[in-house]
Amino acid sequence: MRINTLLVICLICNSFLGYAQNASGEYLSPSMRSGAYVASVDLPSFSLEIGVLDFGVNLNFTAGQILKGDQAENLKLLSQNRDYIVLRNNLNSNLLALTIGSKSYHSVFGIGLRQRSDLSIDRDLVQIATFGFPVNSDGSYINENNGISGSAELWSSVFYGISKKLAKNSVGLRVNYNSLIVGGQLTTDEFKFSRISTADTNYIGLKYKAGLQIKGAEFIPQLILGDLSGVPLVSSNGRLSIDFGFEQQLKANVRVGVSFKDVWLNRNFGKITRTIWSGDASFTGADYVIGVDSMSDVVSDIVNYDMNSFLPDTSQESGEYFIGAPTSMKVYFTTRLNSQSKLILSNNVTWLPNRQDYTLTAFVYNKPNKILHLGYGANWWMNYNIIDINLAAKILIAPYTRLSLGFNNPLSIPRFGNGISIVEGFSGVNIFFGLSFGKYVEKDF
Amino acid sequence: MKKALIVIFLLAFFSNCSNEYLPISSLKISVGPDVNFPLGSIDMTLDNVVGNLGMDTQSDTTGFYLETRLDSVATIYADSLFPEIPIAAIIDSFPMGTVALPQFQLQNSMTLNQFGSAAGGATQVLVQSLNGTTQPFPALGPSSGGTYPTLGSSPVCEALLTNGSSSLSITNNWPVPVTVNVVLYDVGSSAVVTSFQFTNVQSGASQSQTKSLVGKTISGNLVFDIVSVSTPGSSGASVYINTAEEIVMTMSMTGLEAESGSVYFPTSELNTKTDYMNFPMPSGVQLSKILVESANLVYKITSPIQGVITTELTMPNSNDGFGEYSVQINSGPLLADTGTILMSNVELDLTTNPNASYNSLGYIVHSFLADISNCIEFEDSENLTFEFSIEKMKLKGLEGFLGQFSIQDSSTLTIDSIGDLKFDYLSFYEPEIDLEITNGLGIPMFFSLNLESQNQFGKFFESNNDFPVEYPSEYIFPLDRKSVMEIRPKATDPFISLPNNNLNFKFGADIISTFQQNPYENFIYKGEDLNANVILRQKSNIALSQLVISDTIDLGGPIDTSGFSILDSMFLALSYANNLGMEMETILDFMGTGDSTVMTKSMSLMDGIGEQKVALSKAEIGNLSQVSQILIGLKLSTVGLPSSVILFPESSILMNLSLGAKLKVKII
Repeated sequence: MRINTLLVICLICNSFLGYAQNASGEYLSPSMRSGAYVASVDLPSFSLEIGVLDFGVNLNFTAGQILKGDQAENLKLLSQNRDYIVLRNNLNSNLLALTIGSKSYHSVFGIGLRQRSDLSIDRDLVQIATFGFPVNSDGSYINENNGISGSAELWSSVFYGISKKLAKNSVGLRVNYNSLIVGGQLTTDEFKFSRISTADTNYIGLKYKAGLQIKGAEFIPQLILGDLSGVPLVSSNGRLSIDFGFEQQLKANVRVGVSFKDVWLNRNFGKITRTIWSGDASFTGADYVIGVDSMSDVVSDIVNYDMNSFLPDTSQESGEYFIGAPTSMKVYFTTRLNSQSKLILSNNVTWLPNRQDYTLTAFVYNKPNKILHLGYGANWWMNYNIIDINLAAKILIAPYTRLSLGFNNPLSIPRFGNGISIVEGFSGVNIFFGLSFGKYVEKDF
Repeated sequence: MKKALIVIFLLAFFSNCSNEYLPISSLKISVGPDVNFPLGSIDMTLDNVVGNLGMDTQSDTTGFYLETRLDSVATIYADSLFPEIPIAAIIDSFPMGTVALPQFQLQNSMTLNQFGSAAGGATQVLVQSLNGTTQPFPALGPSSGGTYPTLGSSPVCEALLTNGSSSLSITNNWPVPVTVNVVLYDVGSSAVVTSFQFTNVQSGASQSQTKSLVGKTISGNLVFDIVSVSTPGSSGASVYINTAEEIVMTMSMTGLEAESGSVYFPTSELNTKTDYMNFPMPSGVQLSKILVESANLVYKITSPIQGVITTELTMPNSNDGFGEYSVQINSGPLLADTGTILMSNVELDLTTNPNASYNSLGYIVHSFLADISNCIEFEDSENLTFEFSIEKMKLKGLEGFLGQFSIQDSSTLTIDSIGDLKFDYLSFYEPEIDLEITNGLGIPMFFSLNLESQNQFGKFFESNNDFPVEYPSEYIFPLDRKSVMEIRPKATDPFISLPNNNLNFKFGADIISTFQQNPYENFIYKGEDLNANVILRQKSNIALSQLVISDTIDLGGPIDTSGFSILDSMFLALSYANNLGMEMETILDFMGTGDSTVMTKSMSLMDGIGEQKVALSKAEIGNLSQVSQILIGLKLSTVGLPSSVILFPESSILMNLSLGAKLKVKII
């Protein structure tokens, strides 16, 4: 108990960085656990959850890396040290979820709201803005990048999942019926900047194309105010996605598994207008041949060059809207440390449009008694070498009623008052909470 | 395991305690990217630059040549070669001689009544009484019959005759025979010229007598003086008497020649003489034809005749544009017997003399009386003399041989620059100097040239002697012939080094205009000269120091720098590939209004590939608002001075200009 107390204190004050969902909290929620570890059969025989919410805002840098010191230099360093500058958030909520089952079979049914946003700015684009385009020793500077990619989507998900134990193995499948409520995507199809300044070539060229699609824009104002009235949470124009997994028992209490999450059977939510900004311009300057041309005329040509050709042309086209919610795969390993605790190790890969995020997670689920269940561990965002330590607790607050609460670091929560202040090491925040109802079974996790 | 976890978490705890809260409002990012944009490329090919120097250029695989023409460094004018034509003169005369007069007749008659009147007295009364009667005619006389002027035209006013005779014929129309003595009396001299006696001339018959007039002087006022008339009568026979019947006297003058006096000349012709006028030319000068631009034909005519004499001088085979050259001179008592006639544009043939192939001008002098309608006084023993001389002759051309002689000339040129180029010095190695001779002189000539070039590196000499100059052998247009004397200085000599390169040309021309040199006759015509131009073909093997090429960028007014506040600094970058064989220093003068210099920037472009940058500080960027012109100056020097390099037409420098800046852009 004393150790656990120390752990809690340390976790509260940890300097590590938050990332994504609170893995511990997620594991404490049976409905979410079954969503992440689809083939898991290590579930309670009954659990009703209401308002389980797992929210995270994450950066792939810390606030101090920008705000502390020379901010322009900080921005340069950031663009040097990472392929993208990422700002993302993740809201995973199960408004209502029911988990029932037996030793070898579980089913989960529920409805939830999902929200993902991901804004990534290609480091090369940032470098153009910060370093500019000084030519290298070869006299050339070629910058071809993915520009700015962003998506923000809110959709509802009605899900039903099962997991079944087959001898020492188990399989799981969850079917999600997803209704897109609001979605917006900004994609950079092409961005190529060239500057060549050699003795025989003098050229600057810019070719780019980016587009923006927004679906359900009419709901945004009221959603910002938290008003869900009139918002079609479940629509007939939904799309199915599935989660599925497989687990194998290697030996007693030791299991290894793989899960695929958000495998969309059809990401296409139909045609909507896509606004496109594109440009394709180049400039080589004027050719002046000494002894032939008038330099004043040449200068006049340069001065009168229409730089507007570098500015974007705006057009619109009808394009399919493909939801951006990424598919991820988790490979995990679970083992019982003792009768009260369990160690979960997982490696998660998420396929984003321009990158793959790799996360290594290790945490312990410890339920030493009936009153308090703890989950604590660490996520390692391998792309950017960001580690966050997270903690979640499930506390019996009433008969058959437990409050789950989790966070990665309460000190990383911004302070409001006299402006907004954030801690130097802030790179995101996770908050997890929810209510669950069910009978406590000591052997169940 | 647990202890390890505890240690980790404790570390995390303590490190976290050092975290500080940072206000988001402090997020103020201003980036300073370096940007640079292409301004363009500057391409300078030597061929282009050289092509704009205002000179002819040529090129081949060994380099290119700047061609400079120095016109008329030597000129031999045709008229400078004309020999001085000495005065040619002739004096000739001819005597007047006797004048052969044409035959002429004088006549008159004497009626019986005139006779009676002349006899007077009783004879007169008797004769008057006889008229109209038929009766025997009485004997009459001898009595004087009176004086009767000669009627008829006489060519003599007064003449002493050396030949000729007078024949008087009497025809008796009286009805009786008569005996008549007639005297031809000269009233002017009151002397009897001659007399005639006719005896017993029967009625109706004629008698004639001839008397010599040699040594006689006659005038135009002759009379028949009937000294005596007598008749024996009709011897009693009755005859019809008409006193109007005449005795007719007819005198015929034949073969008269006058040696002096005053006569009507039967013809105007006096004399025609053909001869030759020799020009005493110097030895070796043999002229066959001369074209006289102008000359004075001086004459003197001395005539014994008191009348106007016309002297016509003709030069056979000459041509004055209308035909043979001929002049007529009138001289006489009231006219000047000397004078000068201006000859112009006359071509004279000096080969008509069969005894002298050259230098001899034939002429014909033809003298005649201008008016023979009146008596002209003359004296046969006096001469008509004419003198002609051709003086102050200016030639327009000549043909023949001029002999052998030499002429010398020299000229000095200073070459300071090429076009408007400015430089410290520009040395040309291996120049090709061509003396291009254009010759319209039809004479064999050998040219020599001693060329001295003096410049900062010293004096250099080149010479070429006995160079045969092409010349026209026939006078057929076009006459000009070209020949080129090549002078090739040593490749190691900076023969031409600008500025202030003096070229001293000393020319010599040996003219050998002889039959032996060329059997065809030579010729020289005014305006057909020899002209020598120097063509300086300077190979691009040069050593050049600080050649200045400049250009001006007129910005049309001060630069609008209102948007420059976002610039922290600015630079002008230049990437270049230089294979000109020259290095250059570039100077940018940023000029304000009134030609004031706002600032100056420079950079150096070396041989090969490189990059240069001219940076402007924030303060200098601010000064751009004063700039309305940018003067670009290039100072070019060949690589490896003072050694020379060979420049090729395709040698070029390619410069890519970029305008760069460090921006100051507020993002947040």
